[in-house]
Amino acid sequence: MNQHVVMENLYFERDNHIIFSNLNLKIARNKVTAIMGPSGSGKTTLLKLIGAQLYPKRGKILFNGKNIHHLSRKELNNARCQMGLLFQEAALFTHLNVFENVAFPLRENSELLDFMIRDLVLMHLETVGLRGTALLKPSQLSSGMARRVALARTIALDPSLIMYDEPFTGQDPITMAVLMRLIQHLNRVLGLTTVIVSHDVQETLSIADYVYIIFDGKVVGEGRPQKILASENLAVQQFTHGLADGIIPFHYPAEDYRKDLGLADA
Amino acid sequence: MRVKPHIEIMVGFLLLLSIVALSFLAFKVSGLKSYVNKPETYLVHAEFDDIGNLKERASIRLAGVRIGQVVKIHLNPETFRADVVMAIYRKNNLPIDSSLRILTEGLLGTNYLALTPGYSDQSLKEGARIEETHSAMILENLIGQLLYRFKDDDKKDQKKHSKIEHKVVIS
Amino acid sequence: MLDFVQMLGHNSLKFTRRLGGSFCFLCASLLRWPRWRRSFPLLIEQIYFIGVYSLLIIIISAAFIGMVLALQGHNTLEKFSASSQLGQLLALSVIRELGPVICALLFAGRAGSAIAAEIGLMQTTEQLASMEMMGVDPLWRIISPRFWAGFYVMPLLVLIFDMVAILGGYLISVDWLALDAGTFWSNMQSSVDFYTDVVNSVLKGLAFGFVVTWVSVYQGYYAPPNAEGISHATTRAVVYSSVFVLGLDLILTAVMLGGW
Ligand SMILES: Nc1ncnc2c1ncn2[C@@H]1O[C@H](COP(=O)(O)OP(=O)(O)OP(=O)(O)O)[C@@H](O)[C@H]1O
Ligand SMILES: [Mg+2]
Repeated sequence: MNQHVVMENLYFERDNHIIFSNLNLKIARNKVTAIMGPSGSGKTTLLKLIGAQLYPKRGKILFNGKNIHHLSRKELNNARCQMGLLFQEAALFTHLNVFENVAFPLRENSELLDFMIRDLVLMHLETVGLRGTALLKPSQLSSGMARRVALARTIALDPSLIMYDEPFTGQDPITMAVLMRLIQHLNRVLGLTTVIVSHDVQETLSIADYVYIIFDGKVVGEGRPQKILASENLAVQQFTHGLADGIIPFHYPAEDYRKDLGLADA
Repeated sequence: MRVKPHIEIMVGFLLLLSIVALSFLAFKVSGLKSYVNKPETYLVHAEFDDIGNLKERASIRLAGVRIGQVVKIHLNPETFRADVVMAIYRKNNLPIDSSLRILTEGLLGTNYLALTPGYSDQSLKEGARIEETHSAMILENLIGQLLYRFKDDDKKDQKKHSKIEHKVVIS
Repeated sequence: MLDFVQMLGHNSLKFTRRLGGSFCFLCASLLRWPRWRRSFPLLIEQIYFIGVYSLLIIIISAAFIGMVLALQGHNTLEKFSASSQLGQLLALSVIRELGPVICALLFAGRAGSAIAAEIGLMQTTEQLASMEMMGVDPLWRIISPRFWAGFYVMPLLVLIFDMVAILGGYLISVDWLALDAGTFWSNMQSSVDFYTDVVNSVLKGLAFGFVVTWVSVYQGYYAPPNAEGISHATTRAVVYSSVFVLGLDLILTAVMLGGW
């Protein structure tokens, strides 16, 4: 079984606003898959659908060959323990310190003894280079550090699939490079299936094995990074080269601008 | 998961405080003490024509000192009088010809039974009956009697009054 | 006119839906109670945060209320030369009404708002969502312990409030107004009944604790995910729970006095 996650004919809408009209997407095991698309195209929504926090109107998502939306509560919890989702904001628990944040999934999902948890947490914090912050509160961290703590917390449960929601935004170049190395390291050494959602074309393409570009509720381009860069598709070209004008509109769908300003008949 | 010790201490303190509060409310504030920690008593009966507002658990006093409480009040179906059962503290030996009155604390207060001791050498025993009782003073009856008096007075004064009224109407 | 009817219909439909929704939410969070060994420490922790933190304000308010009540009651009763009844007045009004109601209002202001704000913040910053992704059910881990803690703590707080208020009143009556301590207590004892008064006070406390935590938790959980949403949710938690407490108090009092 080579596909970790498979999406078939996904249809999803929110407040009568269609987000995915017919989405087909495959995430290969042990590979780095990048999902790119303009802001508001529904990338975060896609990750939440995979995590079964949202339910699609039609179509299905298979995780390890099973429809994730048809699992019982217990099976779903087990499936969720096998996937890590790194939220756009770090979403650290504000009432716990860094150490307890990383320890949280271990304490909740395993019967490990305290000293084992301590060692594991310190190991994971060392991996992201933040062992020294163990006793700080999340409010004392910068947003980049918070994101790395969240990464440590996500890998604490040893998931087989890890999804990063825009891991690079708001990071300085050094941290960005460190993060990229970390992501690659986790992928190669631990064999984690990796999904990266990002707008940072260069960085993402440099570490991705396979790329999807979604726009207007569909996949408009897919393939290996070189193929994407060479693509003839107008939307893909506009996105990869960062052109202001093209078929991807900058504006959220709205009424005619002139009409909205009351200039319709002028 | 363990709970931090100071949390446990404070929660324990909260529980302790509320237990203290509960026992305070039970034994000091409400009359539960008399259920639990019963002093030795003996029961005595008395019949009244009218008990007014007397309630169960009202106190019985001799010279202002509490010597027992009312246990039960019910109607005697034969005499149509109120049968009051009282529990008197065992340590009080009362003459058998004592009498009872229903009095009120202050103007609006609750009713209690005042016992006036008699002169007999024999003392009341368990199940004895106090024969001499005075009914409660019912405010309405008192006022009724008072009004009746006034009416008599009125008749004498009627002429004077009507004249005055006349004057008032004219002016 | 038609607009008005339409609005009325719309709003009552919305209200009914809210009520149904919050009831489902309540059931969902109450039915998650599977693992005692893990749930118990969470409960203790919440009893600490909800109960112990409210203790100080409740003790202080109770003392003042008891004292004021004694002064006012004495002032009025004196006119009828019935100041010996002060203890009874104090105990009955505190135990039957003021204790549970004021305690619930203070509890809503102190703990209810904190619960709503905390849960609202966790929802907004996706802490609950990420908890869910770790295979931990937030209804079980976060909501349920707070709910039960509020439910258990309220009666305890009411008992403490009753005691402190009566002691405060005692202080004023006996030390300041120079009433006789013996009369004070014995009049109180002959009029306060443990089963109908004290137990009912505790029952009211249970009911109010239930209402306040239900409202607060619900408001926090469904707060719109932004700063304004949280502030509204906090306000609403306090306002709604106060109104519900007062309304429920009327019903409960009618039941307890009328013996329906
Ligand atoms: N809670 C919500 N309720 C209603 N609509 C929502 C909600 N969250 C997101 N949306 C809508 O869903 C669409 C996709 O949102 P999503 O957050 O998935 O975009 P995104 O691709 O992650 O964007 P970005 O790159 O800016 O994070 C947006 O058009 C947004 O308006
Ligand atoms: Mg997003």
